[in-house]
Amino acid sequence: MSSSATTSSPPPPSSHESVVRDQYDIVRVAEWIHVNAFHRIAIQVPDELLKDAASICRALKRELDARTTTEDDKDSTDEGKKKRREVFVLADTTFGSCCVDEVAALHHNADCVVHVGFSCCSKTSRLNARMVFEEKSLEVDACAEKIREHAKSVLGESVNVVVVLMEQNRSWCSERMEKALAVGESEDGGKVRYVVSSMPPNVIEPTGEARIGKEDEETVRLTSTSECGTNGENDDGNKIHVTLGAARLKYEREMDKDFKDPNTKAFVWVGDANSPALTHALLMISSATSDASPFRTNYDVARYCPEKGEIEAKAIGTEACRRNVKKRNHSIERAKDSNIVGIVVGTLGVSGYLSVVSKLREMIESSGRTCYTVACGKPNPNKLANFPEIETFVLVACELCALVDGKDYLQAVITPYEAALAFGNKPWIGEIKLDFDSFEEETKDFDGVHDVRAEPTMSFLTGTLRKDTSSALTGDDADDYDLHGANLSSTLMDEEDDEKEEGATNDAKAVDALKLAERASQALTFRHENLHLNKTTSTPRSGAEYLLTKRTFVGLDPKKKVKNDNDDEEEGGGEHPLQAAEGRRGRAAAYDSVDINK
Amino acid sequence: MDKVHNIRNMSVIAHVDHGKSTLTDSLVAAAGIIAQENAGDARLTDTRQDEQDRCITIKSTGISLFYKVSDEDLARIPKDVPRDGNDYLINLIDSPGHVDFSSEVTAALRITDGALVVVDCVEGVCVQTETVLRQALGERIKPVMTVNKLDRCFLELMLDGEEAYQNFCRVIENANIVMATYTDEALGDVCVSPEKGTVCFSAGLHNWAFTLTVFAKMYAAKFGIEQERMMGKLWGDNFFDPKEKKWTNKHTGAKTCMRAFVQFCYEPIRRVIDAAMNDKKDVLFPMLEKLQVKDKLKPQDLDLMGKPLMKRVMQTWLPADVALLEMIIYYLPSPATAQKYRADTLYEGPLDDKYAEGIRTCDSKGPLMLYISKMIPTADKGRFLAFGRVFSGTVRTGQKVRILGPHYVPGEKKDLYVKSIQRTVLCMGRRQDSIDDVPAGNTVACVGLDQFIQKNATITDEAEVEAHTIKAMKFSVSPVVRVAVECKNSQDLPKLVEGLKRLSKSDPMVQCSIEESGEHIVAGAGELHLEICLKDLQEDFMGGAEIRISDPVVSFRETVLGTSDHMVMSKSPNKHNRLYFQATPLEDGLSEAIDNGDVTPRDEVKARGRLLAEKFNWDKDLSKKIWCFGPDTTGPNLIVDMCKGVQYVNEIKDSCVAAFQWATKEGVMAEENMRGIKFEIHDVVLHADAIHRGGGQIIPTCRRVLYAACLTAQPRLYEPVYLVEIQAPEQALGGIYSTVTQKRGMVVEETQRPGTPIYNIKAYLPVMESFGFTGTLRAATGGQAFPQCVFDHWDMLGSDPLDPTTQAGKIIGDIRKRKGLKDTIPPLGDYEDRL
Repeated sequence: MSSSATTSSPPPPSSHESVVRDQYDIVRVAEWIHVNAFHRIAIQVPDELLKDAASICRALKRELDARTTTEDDKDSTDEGKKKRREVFVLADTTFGSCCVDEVAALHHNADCVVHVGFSCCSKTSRLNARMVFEEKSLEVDACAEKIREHAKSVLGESVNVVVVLMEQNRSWCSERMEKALAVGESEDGGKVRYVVSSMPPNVIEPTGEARIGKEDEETVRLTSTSECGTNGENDDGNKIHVTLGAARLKYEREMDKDFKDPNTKAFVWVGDANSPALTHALLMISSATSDASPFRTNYDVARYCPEKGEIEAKAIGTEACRRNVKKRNHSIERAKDSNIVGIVVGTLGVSGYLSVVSKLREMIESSGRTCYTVACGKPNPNKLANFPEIETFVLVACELCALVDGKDYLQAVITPYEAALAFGNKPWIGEIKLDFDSFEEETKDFDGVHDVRAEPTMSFLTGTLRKDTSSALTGDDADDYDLHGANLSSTLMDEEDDEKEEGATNDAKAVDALKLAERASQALTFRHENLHLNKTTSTPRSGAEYLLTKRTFVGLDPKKKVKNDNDDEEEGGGEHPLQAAEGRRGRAAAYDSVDINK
Repeated sequence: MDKVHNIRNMSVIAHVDHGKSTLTDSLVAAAGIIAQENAGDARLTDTRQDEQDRCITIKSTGISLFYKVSDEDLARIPKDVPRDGNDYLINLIDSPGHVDFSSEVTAALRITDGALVVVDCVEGVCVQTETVLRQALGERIKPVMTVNKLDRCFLELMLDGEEAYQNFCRVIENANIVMATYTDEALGDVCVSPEKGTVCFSAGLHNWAFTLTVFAKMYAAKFGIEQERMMGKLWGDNFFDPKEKKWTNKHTGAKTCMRAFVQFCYEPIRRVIDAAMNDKKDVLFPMLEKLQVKDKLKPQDLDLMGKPLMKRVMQTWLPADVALLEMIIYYLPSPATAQKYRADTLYEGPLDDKYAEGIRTCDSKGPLMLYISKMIPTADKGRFLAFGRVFSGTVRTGQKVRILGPHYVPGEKKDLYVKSIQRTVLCMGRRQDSIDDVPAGNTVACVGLDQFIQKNATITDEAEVEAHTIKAMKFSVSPVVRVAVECKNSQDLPKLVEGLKRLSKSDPMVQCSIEESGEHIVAGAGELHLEICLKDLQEDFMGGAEIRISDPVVSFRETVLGTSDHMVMSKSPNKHNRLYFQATPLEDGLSEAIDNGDVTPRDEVKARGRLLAEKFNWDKDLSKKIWCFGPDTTGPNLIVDMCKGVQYVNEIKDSCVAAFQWATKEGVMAEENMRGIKFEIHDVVLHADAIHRGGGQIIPTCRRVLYAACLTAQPRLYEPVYLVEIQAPEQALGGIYSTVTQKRGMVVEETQRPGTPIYNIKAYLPVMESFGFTGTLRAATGGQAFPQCVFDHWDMLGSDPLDPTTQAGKIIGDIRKRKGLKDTIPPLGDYEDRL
């Protein structure tokens, strides 16, 4: 992550720069910055537009300078000079390029971010952001014609509502599209209604949620009523708003019935085939199964290809998406089987991520599992394989990056919504929900205590019964204690119990005390059985279990060393701590002092 | 039921359609549960509607029968069989005969001590007869036999006496050969013979049967010989010439000289049946009077005509239950007797602890040891009865018990639950009767434990924390036929999941799982088994929600034919670590040895080394360097450390093992399990800093190098192969051969059953081709051939799967398509790196 500040004395504008100025809406961005009086401006550019980054930066700078000087002329004090605006480019993003990289921007004390290119439009938590969308050409009338034709010929009689999803870089013309289609509507007798997705708002104001604490609940309520949610619906007089990823849909109340009915509604995507937003939309649409979901449809999503000017009845990737949806089934099942869970923080910006993380922690721990939080930038298989004992990862990230295909990962990687189902023992109905709101929705009755009566369930991976570990912690059957989880988490749990005790009422206190006493009475046996565990004769059933019970190499700490296998190593040297010595220098590939590839 | 010596736990086993359920009915009728008249038709133990409709037993059903046996009948009980009064309790389990349901038989055998082997007198010993006998003897179950369907001899085939005798003789001999082959020393002599009273002749449909005792008793008085000696005379080469009133050992050639069995047993029966069938009441009634049967008949019975008359007369003369009961009580062991020698094969723990002792002595006051062998669905949807056998101690309603699952390890809390038994009940076929407690030696069903038992479990008292489990059952079939199921309406998904859980519980064999692709897979032993399971799933366990069922899916195994043609190397993502591997096939028979548990990861290293060195020519030192088995740490693939004096190798062992488990589970070609591959680590170059050779670097790299090693070692596919046994008359042979060949099968054995025109054919048939095989075969042979398929082995497909035009290549293509993978196998370059 590095930033390059531009020089303060700009050269005269090149021709490219003026092109950039128009293309990226620089004038209005500058206006927005000026009005809001931001001083340090970070520009975030996706990789494919990086070539324009410098020009954007210069153009913006010039534009801002023009405004500053006109104002500053009147008040040309030292202070005014100090407040000169600084514009710089963020060269790399910590996570996906669709999210506003708040952390990187904050590292440089930026007070606003100008985000160029495709955006997931997730709410930010600390910084103001201005989206600059690309604008690609689209022949609106031809497109509208094709869509009408498609509605008539392919979709047939029963379809009353056609939802046109405009790719972000083409939604600048969505109003024209709406009109063009409306003309057709009346020509066709007004039977088929068209709903065109509109431009997402290009200004994002932070929700201010940075800490977790008492205000949390308020924030949650705020976000769930705001239209930020995926399938958040919002009443606005007689219009109903629905959002799908970054796309906004608005339709009249009278259409509600047709809109909700999977038999009368179909989707058309206008844009490129490889857009992540299309993948996201396909995932949401093909996984929508519940009656309440506004995306349920019995028709394939069609795609209008702007380059060719043709409609394909089934967008490329539909099948792959369906398969992906099915695969989640396996991942969720794996999650249910795992005792150690890692939470991967895949965003440090999307509003609400902290409350999601803390809620996840709470849920996982109360289900008797151990959990660790991992922050490692954009997750990849190599990074996550560094934690082989962790059996499942929950990725907390923006909607468009949240679903990873677990193929190359050693462990299952699931979304928070899936985690809520897996660790809350709820059935999955085949839906994918990637936004934080549905996670909150799913966990809203979760009060920190698991249902004691939960029965053991069958695992579809091992074919045996899987103990609901939570019943051991809260239930009367102290015997049902799962050692795996228990040993590792007992210290954590104890702390938590103490915390709980402070705030609890007398009754709860008594219960907690009882629990503690019970645990204390078993403390000895735990230790004993812990010893036993190491020598256990049982056959581990997974790689992770193997590592937990039979790991041979346990690092350099001499106390933890398992003797039998590593006798030859570190006989004497391990006993005494060594003096701190100077380490190696240089790159890992070639340290200054050591020749590695000898 | 407290009198352990007066209990008999027995299962009825046989080939399909040899008349188990029908015969069981006569025993049930005798206990007064159904009317005598209905016996043979009701098939009380076929409790399910589809069992009744298809006339085939699907689930094994337990029934507890209580008899008061008269002193007279018990007079001749062998002296070494202890008895305790005249009340006898017989816990009988009727089992299915179709090979697809063998797992039900296994579950039944586990909880019984004796077996009534039913053999059709015409068809003789068949495939499944042999299979179940082998299983029974493996569990140390003592067999007695009945030659069934005698009525066919008289009515259908009209055999004359000598022919019939030869026929019976052969049937018994064949059975004895099988028993001798699989006998277990601890069980003693298990051969059966009529003169010993361990063979009975029966006609289940007409509800009559006899042992030689009945006739011996009759004639003993007449000839003035002891009953025992008379029994001996009535079987084997003993001839009697009534003219000369002389016994000989050989046929004298005189016309009147006849084999004693024919003379005294077969002929009288034939005459009675003839007379009754042809309504020759003038001949019949005097005969009946002579046999002292007429007084026992009711007046209205005498008015019957034809078949009903014959049935009535025979039932009265030679009631099936008397003959069978005698055999069961006299010659099948009581639990007290049987558990003495069964304890060793039952108990997993040390054989000198108090639990083993309790089992051995069948002590109702000992520690509770109860084995649940199957779960029975109840009328209350979604709930199950846990059905099993008390081997030691007494189980009570309300008792708090420890439930030890199959993966329980003493001292650990894995797979262990402590719960209370809500109720204990006795199984009475279609209904259940509550009972307060059940002592050792009995079968029992428990209510309220179903949530904590998946398929089977060992139950002990709450206080008995040191008990080990009772050994898991070994099934003779494996679930090789798989289908994917999904619900038509996606909102039914939770219903499907719940249904699959219940299905998995209800059947000892069926496997329900979720594949990597997210599909729900149901695996069964055969097509019929699956069909029944899926029907249950849809109708009973999902409340009728519609499901879609895919075509059968066969699972393959990936293997290698040769050694990697060069040393393959992969670099870690950071390029600082290099792993050098080679793959070679495991020695012949080693995979099977691992499958059978002869070579396991739990073995003591030295013992395993010796075994590998002796049997498979392994280097002794090498066998010590086996890092792991896989997949699932027990499978038939090995990773072996072959490098010497390399730094840090110990450190990456764990990472390599994790990668090895992963790679062997999802092979490189089609993500099927690997089988029979040995991966050798030849060299590793690791970064000097621990941080740069952590799991994140090594695990993905190791997986890649394993894949590369496979791809360079002539990868091949293994396909599962059935052993098909077909019985058919000679004229059907041509059709069989052509069908088998057409399905890529191979006939390995063809034998004629002595004295019959029936041939026994054994053939290998790829599972993949077996779908619809039964139908094709029937069509090709005019319905005369009847095949039974059992999974036998894995067979290598000769063609190169890397070439998409070959058969193996096409299979790979299909699998990859089904799993949603890229069309072609990734090239070697994806996995191997250059220096």
